[in-house]
Amino acid sequence: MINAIVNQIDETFAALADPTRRQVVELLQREPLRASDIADRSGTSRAAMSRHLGVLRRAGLVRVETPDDDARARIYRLDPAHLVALRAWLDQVQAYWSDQLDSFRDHAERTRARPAG
Amino acid sequence: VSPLGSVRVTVTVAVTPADAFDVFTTEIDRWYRRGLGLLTSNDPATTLRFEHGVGGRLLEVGASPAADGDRRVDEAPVVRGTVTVWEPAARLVFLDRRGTEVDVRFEAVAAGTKVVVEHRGLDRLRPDQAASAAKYGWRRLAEWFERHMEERAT
Repeated sequence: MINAIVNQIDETFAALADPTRRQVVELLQREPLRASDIADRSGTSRAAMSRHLGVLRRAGLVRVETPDDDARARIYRLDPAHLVALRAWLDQVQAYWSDQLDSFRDHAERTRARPAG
Repeated sequence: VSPLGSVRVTVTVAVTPADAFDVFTTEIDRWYRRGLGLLTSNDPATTLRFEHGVGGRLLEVGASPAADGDRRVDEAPVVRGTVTVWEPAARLVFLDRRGTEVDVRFEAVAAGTKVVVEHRGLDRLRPDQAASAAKYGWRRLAEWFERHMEERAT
């Protein structure tokens, strides 16, 4: 189970290691978008955006759909299931700091506690 | 700052902000739990210290027992972080060796001091770092986290 989590985190982070791709994920957190809209909003050429979307799709971070009313359009949507690995990693870091700060508090109060009142 | 890759943890301590800052920095070796990786090595037999002031370093000094008993032989310190903000009783910010940022605020409250730690840039690791879970201590952290959750569940 740990290996699976670690591998998935690696894959997610490799995909998110690029600032443009992080920006795409943040845009898609708000709403699903067409590839052309994503390119325009992030100020990236459509060709470059197509490559970035490919990386995100292979990492499973985004899904692509074709709307019923326009067979040529491609709508990109975040796949929240695949952000789970990132969330799991952040949860670990959060628990790590909770532990560290508990230890910090115990030590500080043992050695520096204010006099009552 | 990307909301994707940051965590925030708060604790309230019954000491003054000046004491809280002092304990956090000067006495880090006395409270920082070892063996969890992340910012430091996983070796519990090292000491940690902050050099005071902006530009100061968070140093981890390896110490191995010498043959003659209690005396320890110091090895060259390893730089684990660099201080970018040093405001006693108020705020400490340092960058770790991979460029993630730890921002610690000390706020006076009725009960003493509210300490807020924000660790940012956790989604900004370079691909070679992201590709090596072991380098960032993820594996150890994952194991520890699993134990932590099990303990919490019982």
